[in-house]
Amino acid sequence: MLHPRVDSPAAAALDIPDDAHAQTCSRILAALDAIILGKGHEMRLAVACLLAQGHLLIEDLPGVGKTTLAHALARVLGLGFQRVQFTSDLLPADILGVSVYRSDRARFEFQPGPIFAQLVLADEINRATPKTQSALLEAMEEQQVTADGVSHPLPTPFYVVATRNPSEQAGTFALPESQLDRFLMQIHLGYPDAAQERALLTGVDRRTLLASQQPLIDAEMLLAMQRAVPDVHVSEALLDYLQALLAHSRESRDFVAGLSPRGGLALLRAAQAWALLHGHSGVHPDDLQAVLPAVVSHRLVPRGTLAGSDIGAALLEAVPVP
Amino acid sequence: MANAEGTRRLLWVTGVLAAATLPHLGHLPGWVPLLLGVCVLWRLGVSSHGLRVPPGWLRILLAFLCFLGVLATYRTINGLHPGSALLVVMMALKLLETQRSRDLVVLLLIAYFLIFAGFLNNQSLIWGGYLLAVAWLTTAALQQATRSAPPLPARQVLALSGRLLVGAMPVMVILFMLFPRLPGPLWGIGLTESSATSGLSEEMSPGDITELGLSEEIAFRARFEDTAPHASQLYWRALVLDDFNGRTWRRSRPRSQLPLRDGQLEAGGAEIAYEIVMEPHGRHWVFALDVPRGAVSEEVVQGADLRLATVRPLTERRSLALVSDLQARADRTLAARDREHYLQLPAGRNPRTRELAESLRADGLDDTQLIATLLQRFRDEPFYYTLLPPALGAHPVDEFLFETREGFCEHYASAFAMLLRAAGIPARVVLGYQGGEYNPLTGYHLVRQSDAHAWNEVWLPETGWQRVDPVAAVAPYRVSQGLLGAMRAGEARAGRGAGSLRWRRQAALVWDAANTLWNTRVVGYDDGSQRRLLERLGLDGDYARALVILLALGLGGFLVILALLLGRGLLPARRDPLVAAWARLRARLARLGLHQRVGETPVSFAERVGRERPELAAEATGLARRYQRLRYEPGSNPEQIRRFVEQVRRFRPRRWRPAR
Repeated sequence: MLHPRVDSPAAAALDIPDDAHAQTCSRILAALDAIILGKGHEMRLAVACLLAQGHLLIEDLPGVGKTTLAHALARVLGLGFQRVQFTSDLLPADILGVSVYRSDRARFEFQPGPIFAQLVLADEINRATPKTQSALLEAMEEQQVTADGVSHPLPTPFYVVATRNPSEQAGTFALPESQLDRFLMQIHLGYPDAAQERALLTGVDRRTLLASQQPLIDAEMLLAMQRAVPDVHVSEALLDYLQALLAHSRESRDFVAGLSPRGGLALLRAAQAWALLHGHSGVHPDDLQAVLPAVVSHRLVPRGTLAGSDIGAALLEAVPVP
Repeated sequence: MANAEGTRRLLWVTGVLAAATLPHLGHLPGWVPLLLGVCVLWRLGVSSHGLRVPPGWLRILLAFLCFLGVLATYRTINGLHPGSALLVVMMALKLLETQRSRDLVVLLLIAYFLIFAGFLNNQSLIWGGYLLAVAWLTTAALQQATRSAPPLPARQVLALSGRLLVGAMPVMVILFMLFPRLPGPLWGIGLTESSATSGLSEEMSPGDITELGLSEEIAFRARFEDTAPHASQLYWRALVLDDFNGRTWRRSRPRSQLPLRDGQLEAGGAEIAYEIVMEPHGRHWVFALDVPRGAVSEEVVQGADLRLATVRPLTERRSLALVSDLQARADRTLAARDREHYLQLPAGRNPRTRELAESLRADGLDDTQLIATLLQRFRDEPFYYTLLPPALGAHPVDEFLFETREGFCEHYASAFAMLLRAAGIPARVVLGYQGGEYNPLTGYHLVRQSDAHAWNEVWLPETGWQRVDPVAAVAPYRVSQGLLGAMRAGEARAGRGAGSLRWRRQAALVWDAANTLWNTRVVGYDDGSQRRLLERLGLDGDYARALVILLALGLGGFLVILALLLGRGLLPARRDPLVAAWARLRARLARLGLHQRVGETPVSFAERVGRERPELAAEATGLARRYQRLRYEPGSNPEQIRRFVEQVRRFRPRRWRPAR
């Protein structure tokens, strides 16, 4: 296991974490790096998204490791895992659960659906009808499921990793923008490069690796880390930078509409989570820049030909760091 | 207002009142400061010991009485001194009815007036500085009086008002330089009459003086355009005395009022141009190097006795550009009537002197030989130069020449002229100054009242009037080194040292340089200086118009700059030293062609720098990380920032990659 020693002289350098959370984080990241090859940045974004109590949207082709990523997260973090494969005939109740009549007790009883798990992988959500999609998104938003007038809280922590196929594929229902906003980040995995592909092809099967992986933390510790995120220091200078970015997204002619206040808050939380993950006691502009493409790519509608992470890059290149 | 706070405010204000009254003490009648003192104590008693304020009718009565008092003292309420007395009186009485801060403000405004009047009264450098300090104090007191919050500590309020005054400085300078000035005296309220002093008088009777006061006051300053003549050539002519009654030399009227005739003066070829700056003396005299050449302007005329005079009395410091000819000849021919005039002596006075002259004449000596013989006589016989001569009786010249043989320049000049006249040689006495001290700091020769001197002029056929200084025969030091030289020679004999005088002289020269600057550049800045300033700026023609336009531009410009500064919130904002240090580091890297891109964080910039210039990698990324940690993480302290700034200062990347 790779455990960077924190008491080494290099601990003073920026990237080496120096407190308990950061130490845990670095262990988690090291473990995940060993399972998922060549996707270090995306995998870190996924963890930061979880720490910021947001949900993750992965837009990619099938077979690039989405499921492995979600699975690995659940294993390493010790979360209960459920997978829901979305299809065009999937109904809301198939996800949320149904009330069934129990004749022995002579009453209806709620049977929780697959959403009642700490980590839910919602695969190919744009294959389902808008009605089913919105049922999922509402449950994500409210942290509970209401059936027959009774509210059933979802477990904590609760983390949805949804995937969608690129919308130009046949048989998909596009997600409306208002619902995309519910996801803190959207990332792309993409194909691995040649060396990583070679390692993948020749190495141990990922599933075997996953099965042997022991959880490094429990839900309690994860919740504590989640609570620590809003406490990460945000300096005036960083707020200046963040506001300059928001202002530019609203004023620039590159975008149809700017970032909403919710988008700004999402950016800040994600940056704080990233800073915590990397052992920074305050949010650096680098932290903000690292998460910004993932946070804004599904929120900003570009006017020109920009797409994906280029949207965030265009925004970053237009605003000076104070 | 709370009592303790009120007392503190009151103390500030009364302190200012006292300080502003101080410059006027010299000319105020004694009861005025007394009244002020009583009122201050009374008012303080009211504030701290619960004394009662005098009733309204009493205050009105007091005001009326004080007004009458001022009127009785000065016979008028017009003019500077009665005006300032009235101001002090009113201020003292107003003090008795101060209740709210508005009353204190009124008092402080009166104090500003008093400060201004103090400057009218005396424009010397020392008082100027003092009054500036009082103005500062007054501004501070004004802030204390008008604060709604409790009064500030003294240092704080003085710093605050100091900043205010410094901020107002540009306006002051602009107004001083450009506010249109009226020609003539700036402070023309008839105030210099009393301060005009002189070491000279219009007549001379040496027998009556037993002690000559030595005044170190400046009579005038002179600056030569080229090299200055030797000190023994520096005879500054002021007056010519030609009428002798046996005891007193006077100017004869109307002869002394006659103007210079054409052809009376012949050039000798040794012209010297110079400028003199005269202190006000209330007379018409102009001190010009012997012999001045011609009238210089409508304001200055030259008389037949070769002296220069102003048309109006000199009541303020004045600067004149003059030309003199050290070898000019005057009156090569003397009309019979004039010759007779310059030989005239009173009958029956000083008979022994007359005898001496006649006996010398009888020896068959010609004029030149006779003069030489007389001078030799002064040299050979035990004549002493002293400032403490004994009193002389009915025949003062006789007594001086044959008995006491002690005296200063006036005794010698008087006796010599009498001897010459008795011997039939036309002679007269010239009053003026001799010598002058050169101040290398200003380039001016400084002539003091103690340099006042008297010498003779004799008329010889063919050569005309010629200067003869009998004192040069008795006390040559007096002429070559000034009075101090003569004194030193005399006092050395008396066993007194003159060494301690040296550093005092030196200090006096520095002080004089400061005063010269102040007097010529500040107090002496008049409409003429303004005109010259405009001409230097290339603006001539309508001066008043140009001044008003410049004034408006200057003040407007100042206000615009002020508005911009305030608008940007720049005045109090100091640049964050951390950000400034980072900017410096960026500038240094930019000189190497490494520019931080828009949207590039310090760390990513430094990493790029490291890729392009590997030898800088460690230091650049280290600094960038430290910078970000200080700027974006909590708990950075000034000491760390200081250290970072120091590290940036030491970071000096070289332009070329080192050879590998």
